[in-house]
Amino acid sequence: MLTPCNEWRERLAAFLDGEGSTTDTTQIVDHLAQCPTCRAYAELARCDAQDVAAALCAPQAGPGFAARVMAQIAVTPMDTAPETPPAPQARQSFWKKQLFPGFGRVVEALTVIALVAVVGSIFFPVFAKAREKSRQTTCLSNVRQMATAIAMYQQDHHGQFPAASNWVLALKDNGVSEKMFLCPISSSVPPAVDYSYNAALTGKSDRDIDFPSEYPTLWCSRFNHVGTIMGFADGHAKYIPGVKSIDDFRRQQLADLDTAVDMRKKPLEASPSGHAAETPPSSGAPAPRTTMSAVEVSGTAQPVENERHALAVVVPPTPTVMPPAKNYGLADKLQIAYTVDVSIESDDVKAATEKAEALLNQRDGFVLSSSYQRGEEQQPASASVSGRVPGEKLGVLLVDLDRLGTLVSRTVNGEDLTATHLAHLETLDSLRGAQGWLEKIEGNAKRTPDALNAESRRNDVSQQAAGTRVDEYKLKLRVTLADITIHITGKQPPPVSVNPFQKSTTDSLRALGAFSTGLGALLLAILVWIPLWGPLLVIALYLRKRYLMK
Amino acid sequence: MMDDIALIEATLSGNVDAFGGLVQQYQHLLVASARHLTRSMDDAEDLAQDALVDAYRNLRHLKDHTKFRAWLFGILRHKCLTYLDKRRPPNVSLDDYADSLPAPPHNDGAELAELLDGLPLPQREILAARYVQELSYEEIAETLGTNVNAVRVRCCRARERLRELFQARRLEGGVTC
Repeated sequence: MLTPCNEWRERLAAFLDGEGSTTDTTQIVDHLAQCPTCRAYAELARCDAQDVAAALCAPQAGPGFAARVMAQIAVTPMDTAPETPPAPQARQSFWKKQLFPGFGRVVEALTVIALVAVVGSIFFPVFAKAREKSRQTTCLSNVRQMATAIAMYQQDHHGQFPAASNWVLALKDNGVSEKMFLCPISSSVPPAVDYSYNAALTGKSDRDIDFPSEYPTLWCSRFNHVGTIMGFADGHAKYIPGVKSIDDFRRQQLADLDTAVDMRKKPLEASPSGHAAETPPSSGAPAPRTTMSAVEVSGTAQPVENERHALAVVVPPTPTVMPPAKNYGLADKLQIAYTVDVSIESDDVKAATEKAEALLNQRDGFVLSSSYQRGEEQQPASASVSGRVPGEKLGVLLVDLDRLGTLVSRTVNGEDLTATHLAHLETLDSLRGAQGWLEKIEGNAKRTPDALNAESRRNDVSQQAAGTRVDEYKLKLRVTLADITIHITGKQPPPVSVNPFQKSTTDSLRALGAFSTGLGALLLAILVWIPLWGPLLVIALYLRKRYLMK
Repeated sequence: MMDDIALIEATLSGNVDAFGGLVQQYQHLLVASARHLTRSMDDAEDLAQDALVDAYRNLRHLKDHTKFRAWLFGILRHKCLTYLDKRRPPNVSLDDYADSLPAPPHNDGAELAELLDGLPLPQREILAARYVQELSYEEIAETLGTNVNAVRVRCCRARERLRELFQARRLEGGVTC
C-alpha cells in the first residue's frame, strides 16, 4: 500500500477535501512538487474521494418520497417558538474558562470537590494550629498584663494583694482595660471576665509568699483544653501544658513535692557511713500540704538537726551525695532557692564558654541556654551561659569558675556575695590548716604525757570543724538546686586599623554567602514540595484533559 | 445557502409549500445517508421522512438558519442511531437465507457501496456527513460533538481503511480504481 510522509498524511487528506488552511495549502503544494510518493498518494486519495462520493450518493429517494413527506407535513403542526427564552448563560470568567471549560458537569464538580478536600485536609490542621497559637499568645499577653497590674497594686498598698472581692476593679485602676479580661477563645462581651483570681491571696502580702514565682495569682478559665495560662505572684505569666485547671496544677505540684522529698530522704537513709543510723528518729510531723508554697514543705530543718547531732559526736562524715538529678522537672524547679550570677573576664571567651558548659555538666548540672556574641571592632566578645546545678555542687562549681578568668562579680539572689565567698574559701583553707594542726597535735600527744591537754585541744578543733561543716550542711540541704548564670566578657581588643577595601570585600562576601544560603533554601523548598505536589498536579492535569477538554 | 434561508423564513412565515423546496433539495442526500448509516434501503426512506417531518415541526427552534444542513443531518443521525439501537437481528429461516443475501456486485460503484457497509458506524457516519451531506469539518465536528482535528483524522483513516478493503478485494477480483 502506498504510504505518504507521515507528517503530511492527514494534512494532505484535509487538503484534498478542501479543508486545509491557506498556509497548509501553500506548504502542501510545495511538498507535492518535491515528493513523488505523496503526489501519487494524493492522486490516489482524490480518486478515492470521488469514488466514495459517487458510491455514497448512489441511493436515491423514490419518486413518491417528496409527496409522502409533504402529505405528512400538511397534517403536522409546527411547534410554536418557546415563549420564555432560556436564561442567558452567565458569563464565565477568564480563569473559569481556562481551567474548567465544561464546568457544571457532575464529574468535574466531584473532581473539584475531591481536590479541595485533599488540599483542605492538608492545610486545615496547619491553619487551626496557627490560630490556636495566636489565641494562646493573646491570652498569655492578657494574663501577663494583669499580673503586672497586680504587682503595681502591691507597690501602692505595701505589698498587699488585691482582695478577691474587688480584684477586677483594682486591676482596672492599674491600667488593665475591659477587653483584657476576655480570653480570645470565648465570645463573651466586655462586662464578662474570663479569668479567675486566686482567692487565697485575699489579705496576704508579698512577705507571706515564700516562692512568688511558683504561686499562682490568676489563670484563664477558658483556655484550658490542652493546658492553662497562669500568672504568678512575681508578675510573670506562662502557658502550662497538660494542666487543665487550678486543681490539676495543685495536684501536679504536690506530686512533684512527693518526688522531691523522696529524693531527699533516700540518700540519708541509705548512707553507708553510719551517721544516719545514730540520728534520733524524726519527731516532726510531715510538712503541711495546704499551702502551695514549695518551700514550706520541702524546707524542713529536721535532717539538719540530725546532722548537727552526728557531727558533734564523730568526725565529720563525707557529705551525702545526692543522686545526679538529671531529670529536672517541676519538682526541681520548686527547689531552686538560689539564683547565682557570675561575671568573669577572660582572654579567650569562646574557650571559657565551652569550659563553663563542661563544668556545669561535670558538676551534675545542665545548660539551659548558651549564647556567644562575636567581638566587633569597638566591642569585645561576650558570652552568657545559664544552667542549673545541684546545691551541694554549687560551691565547687564556683571555685572551678574562678579558674576561667578574672572574677568581676558574683551575686547570689541579687546580693553581692563576692567577698563572702572569698571569706568562705579562706575559712575552708583555715579548716584544712586546723586539721593539719590537729594531726600534728595528735602526733605530739603520743610523744608527750600531757594527753589531756592534747585531748582538750583536739576537741576545740573538732568543735570548730564541726561548726563549719554544719554551716555547709545547712547550705547543702537548703539549696537543692541553684540557678546559675555566667557572663563571660573578653578584654577590650587593641584598635586595629582596617583596610577599607578589605572590609568592603568582606561585607560583599558575607552578602554573597547570605544570598547563596537563601537561594539554596529556596531550591531545597522547591525540591521538597515537588514530590508532594507533583503527582497531584499530574492527576489534576490528566483529569482536566480526560473530562474537561472534551 | 441563501435559498435555504429564504425557504426557511418563508416556511416560518406560514408557507408550508416553501418547505417542499427544502424537501426536494435534500431528499436524496437524506435517503442516501440513512441508507449508509442503517445499511437498509427500506428503512432509509422512512427514517429520512421522519427526519424531515421532525425538522419541519421543530423549525422554530433552529437559531442559526445557515446551519440548516448540519442540523438536518444531526436529526437524521439521531433517528438512525435510535433505529440501530432498537433493531434486533431478525429471525431468518435457513431456506429464506439464500434469498436475503445481497445480489453479487455488478460494477465498481456497487462494490464500493458494499465495502462501505463493511466499515464501522463511526467511519460510515463521518463519510456520509462529508461526502453525502457535504458538510465542512467544522459542521461535522459540531454535529458529532467532537473537534475539527478529530474529524480530520477520522475522515482520513476511514478513507484509507476503505482503500485497504478495496485493494484486498481487487487482489481477489481484479477491480480497478
